[in-house]
Amino acid sequence: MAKYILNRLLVAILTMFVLTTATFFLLRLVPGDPFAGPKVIPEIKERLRIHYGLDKPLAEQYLIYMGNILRGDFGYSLAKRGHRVNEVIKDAFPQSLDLGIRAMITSIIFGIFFGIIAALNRGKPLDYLTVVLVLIGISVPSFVVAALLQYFFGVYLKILPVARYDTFWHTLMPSFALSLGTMAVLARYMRASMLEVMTADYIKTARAKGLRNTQIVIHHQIRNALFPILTILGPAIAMVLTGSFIIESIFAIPGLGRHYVLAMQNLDYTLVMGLTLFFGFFLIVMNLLVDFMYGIIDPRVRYTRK
Amino acid sequence: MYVIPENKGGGNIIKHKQQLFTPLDHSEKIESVLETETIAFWSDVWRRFRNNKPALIGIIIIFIFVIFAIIGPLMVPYQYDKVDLFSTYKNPSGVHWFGTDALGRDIWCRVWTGARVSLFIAIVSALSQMVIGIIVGSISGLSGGKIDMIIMRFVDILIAIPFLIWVSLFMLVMGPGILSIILAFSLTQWKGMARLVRGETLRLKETEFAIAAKSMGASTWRLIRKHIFPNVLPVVIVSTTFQVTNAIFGEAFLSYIGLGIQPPMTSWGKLVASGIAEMRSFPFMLFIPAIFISLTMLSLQLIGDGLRDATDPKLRQ
Amino acid sequence: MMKGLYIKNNLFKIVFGLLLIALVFTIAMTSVAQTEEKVFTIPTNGGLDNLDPRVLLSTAHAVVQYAIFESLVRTHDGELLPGMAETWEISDDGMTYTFHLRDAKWSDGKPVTAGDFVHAFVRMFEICPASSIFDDIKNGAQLRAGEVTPEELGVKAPDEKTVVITLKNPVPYFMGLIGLHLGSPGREDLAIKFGDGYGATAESLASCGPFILTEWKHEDKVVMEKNPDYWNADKIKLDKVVVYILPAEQTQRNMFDNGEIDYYIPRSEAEAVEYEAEGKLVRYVRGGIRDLHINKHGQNDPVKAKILGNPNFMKAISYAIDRQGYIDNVLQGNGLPATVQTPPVTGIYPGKTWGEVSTNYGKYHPETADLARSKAYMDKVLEDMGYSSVDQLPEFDFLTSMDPEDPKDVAAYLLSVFTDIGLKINVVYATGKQYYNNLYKPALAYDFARAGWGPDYDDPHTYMGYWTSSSMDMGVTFENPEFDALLDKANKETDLVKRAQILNQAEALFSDIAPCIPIMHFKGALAVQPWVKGLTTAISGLAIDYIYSDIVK
Repeated sequence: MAKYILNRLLVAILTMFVLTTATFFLLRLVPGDPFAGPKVIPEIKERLRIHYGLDKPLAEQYLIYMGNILRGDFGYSLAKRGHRVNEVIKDAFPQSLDLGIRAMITSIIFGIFFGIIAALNRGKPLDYLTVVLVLIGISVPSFVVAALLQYFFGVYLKILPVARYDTFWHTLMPSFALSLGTMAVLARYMRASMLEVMTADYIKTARAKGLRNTQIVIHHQIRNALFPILTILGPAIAMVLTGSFIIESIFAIPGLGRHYVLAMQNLDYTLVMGLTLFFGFFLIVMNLLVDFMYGIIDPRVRYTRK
Repeated sequence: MYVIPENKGGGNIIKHKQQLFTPLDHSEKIESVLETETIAFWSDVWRRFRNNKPALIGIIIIFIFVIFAIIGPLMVPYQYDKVDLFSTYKNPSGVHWFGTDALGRDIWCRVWTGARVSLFIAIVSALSQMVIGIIVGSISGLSGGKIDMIIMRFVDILIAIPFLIWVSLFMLVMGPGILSIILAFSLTQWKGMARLVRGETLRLKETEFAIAAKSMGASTWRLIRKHIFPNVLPVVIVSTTFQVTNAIFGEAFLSYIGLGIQPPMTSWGKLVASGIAEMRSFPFMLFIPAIFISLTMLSLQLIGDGLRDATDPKLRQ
Repeated sequence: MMKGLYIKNNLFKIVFGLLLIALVFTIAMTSVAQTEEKVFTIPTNGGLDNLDPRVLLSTAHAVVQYAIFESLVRTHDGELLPGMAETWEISDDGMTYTFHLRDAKWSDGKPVTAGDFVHAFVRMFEICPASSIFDDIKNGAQLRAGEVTPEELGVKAPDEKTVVITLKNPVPYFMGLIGLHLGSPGREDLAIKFGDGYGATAESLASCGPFILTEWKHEDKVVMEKNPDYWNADKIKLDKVVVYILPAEQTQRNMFDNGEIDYYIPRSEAEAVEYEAEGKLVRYVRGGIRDLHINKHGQNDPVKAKILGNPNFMKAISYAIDRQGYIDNVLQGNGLPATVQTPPVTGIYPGKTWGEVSTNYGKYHPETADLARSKAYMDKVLEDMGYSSVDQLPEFDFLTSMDPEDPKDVAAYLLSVFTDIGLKINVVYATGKQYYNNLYKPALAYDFARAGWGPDYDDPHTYMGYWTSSSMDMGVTFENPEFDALLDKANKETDLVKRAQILNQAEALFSDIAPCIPIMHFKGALAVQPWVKGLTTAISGLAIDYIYSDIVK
């Protein structure tokens, strides 16, 4: 187990290292001087030059840059005058985390629920209905769903606030819109996983022992079918994260995703770089946690995974 | 898991084993045996795929869309970028089948021009990431050792960051445009394919027919082309189908935030994005492109599912 | 079976834990308090980056800056009110303005002094490109160019309570200019204390206006509360003003319909008519111009420069633009065709508007397209260049900050005009700040740019001043010595009728050969919630003035 954890940890650190190096050179690839432009006030530009040591040799610049990152200092935003990238992240992360957690929970609960319903009614209308719902969830772009939700609940029914992220009622539409894609994927996996479990030997044994059907479904099938779902938690987190780019922009939520989209539109290289690294580190840590969780829950991992 | 001769009954194995000891110039025979195997496999897949009605409908829809993408803009006497200020915001009618937008441009024409762009981007980038994935994956799988480790670590790193972030970074550096979207997709999206192909290659490398071929002096390239490629093809096709959907969504995302296709060229993503702005007053401007995007995504999903079921040996009965 | 049990315990712990987190978040995020405060809620499009009035200028910033800062005077509903200055004197030659400050405090308790104004003006000329509108202040342009020291600027504080401003020209609109938020006092101590972060957070700013900035959540909202110490606090009825930063206009409309924001600017005449039917629409007079700028330097390409610098080329494009058709059919009437830069409603001297005085309307640019004339001008260009067909012209870069696919925006229409006359165009869709980076000096990275201008004061000079050679506040300038001289002469002229004639002459010269094509003027339309009372509008500066409005629910 210790070896497994150590291994995952080493890979994670290596990944972070390569990611930071890659963004550094990507920034160097930007045509022209990324800090040029008349609206960049000279003092700010000077500060950026010092921060990244642009007059020094490339190798030294790289070391300065790595040193800054190690100290957790992402420098100043290029477009937002007077804003430090660190502060932007600090201000925006809570909203994104809150939205992400809500969306994850919504998608897990509903995705698993729909998956179970579909599997238990395999080949019956309820199964097809779920499959159709899932396919719609995968097929319709999230910004269309979000726009329709806004119109229907906000303008037509007038029961939910249209946008922003303030009270509990504000959170409902964005978390639902963000959860749809992941929900659909989870429902599919859950359905497949349930179907596999349902034909497993120990279920037959349970049946042979004369256990009641509901008992078998709840205690054996669902519980064991849930297990493989854990493996797609990592990708699901990544999916929610990128989904938040669109959802936060549409619902005017001041989260990291909205900042990322704005920074790209403004060609705010330093902010894009800082956010990319933050996203990267966050996902790597989350994946690590999922891996550990997997290791704890599944004893086989200790032996089979290296 | 997919196309293993052993699975198809003991007879073949015996054949291979017998031929292990035959001279080099007879190797063609093994291939012909393997090729008939492959043909039998594909006719089997086709038979099962044909019975999968949703997947078949998906194929038909995509086929229709591709045909219309080619001939659609030619069917009406308009051009996709021709502004006509005296027929703005026309509802769908006999004159303008899908109506006109705020600049009086014919939406039928724009939808199919957009289809050309969206489908072109999706298909080309899916195919190119497939090619890169197969090459990198098989090199990694076949060579093993240090090269394999380096490639796989690299893949790990690519996977750690969601593809939209990679694509956005690429777009920042390269600037918007069809070519940069395709490049960004194909350069960042081969990782999954490479993993799949490597896994298959590693496994196939150990199978008897590969050992047999190798022992008879087949070159690595020949091994990839004649043995590994046909065997990984089913997984590759399924995965590529899903990559097409990713590329369509990715293009729509980039167009929505303004980093995608540049006007007056259009794409489905752009049409939907401008439709959202007009949704309240002219709903058809959103619904028409949204339906096309969704139908395409749905069809590709159905085709992908159908292919996966058809090629999955576990589901073969 | 063992495996099943093992999973049960841990998995349940995880799921339970996640649910608990969700519950805590839900409770924490649910707001409880709902008071009977009078809260005015405003939508704004752009992001707010820095509220130092000397750093960035956009409508979104001005909406906040007008409320939290108080200049020497304030223009409200077309009327000049005192501001930080209780009284003032203007010298007979109109060159020296002496302002006597009232006793006022910043929100952190420090008194507002004359030194705060001197600091503000010095800082403005040092760092703000838009400071060119104040170039009639003595040594202003020289300070921006770094030719003089701050002590030589014509803004002085002889004592704590007196500000003396010396001009180089006796401009008649100076009182309107001095009321802009650009001329509000600034705090040197805070600027030093916060350095680069000055103006980027609520903490780094002190307020002195009718409202106090109390909360600023970036990319989300700005909260301002009534300033009890404001000199005119008795007349301020709102308890709180909240500015929501909402990027998508569709979202703004939806929020307005759901009663979440108090006003909404309709995007089209169709929308305006819908709100008119509901009795929520206010129509008002609004200044501003939407135009097309031509970079006559052609991005250092001599061939391009020769073509773009040719006034006939400018006219070939202008005569191909169907201003009336575009406004009637695409904007459904939400605008007015512009044939000169200055809108006809602009004031010039008491009792007269520019529309009644100017002789240039319809003379140099057409209201409807005249393709035959366009072609005639283009033929002259081709002849000058020795080309036989339009195809030989190089490809031009068209810079736009708005989505060229957004049909409501003129960029999309201009693209079709370029195509119609056979130009090859490369669209540069630069959003946000990148647009300004391309447009402004020294980059000037465009051949054509979709641009616009909002008036800072109600005088035709505001539409022409930024084209003079010394201006930093736009892309390429006119660079015509005769035009510069005319504008300077106009501002030296104290006889207002004569001044109008000089400005008319400058406008004629500009319209005839300047690298700028006027396209449309605006029609003001605003949807307002029925419970909002006393919202006023202005032709220049901050268009929608909520400072003295009220909420009656």
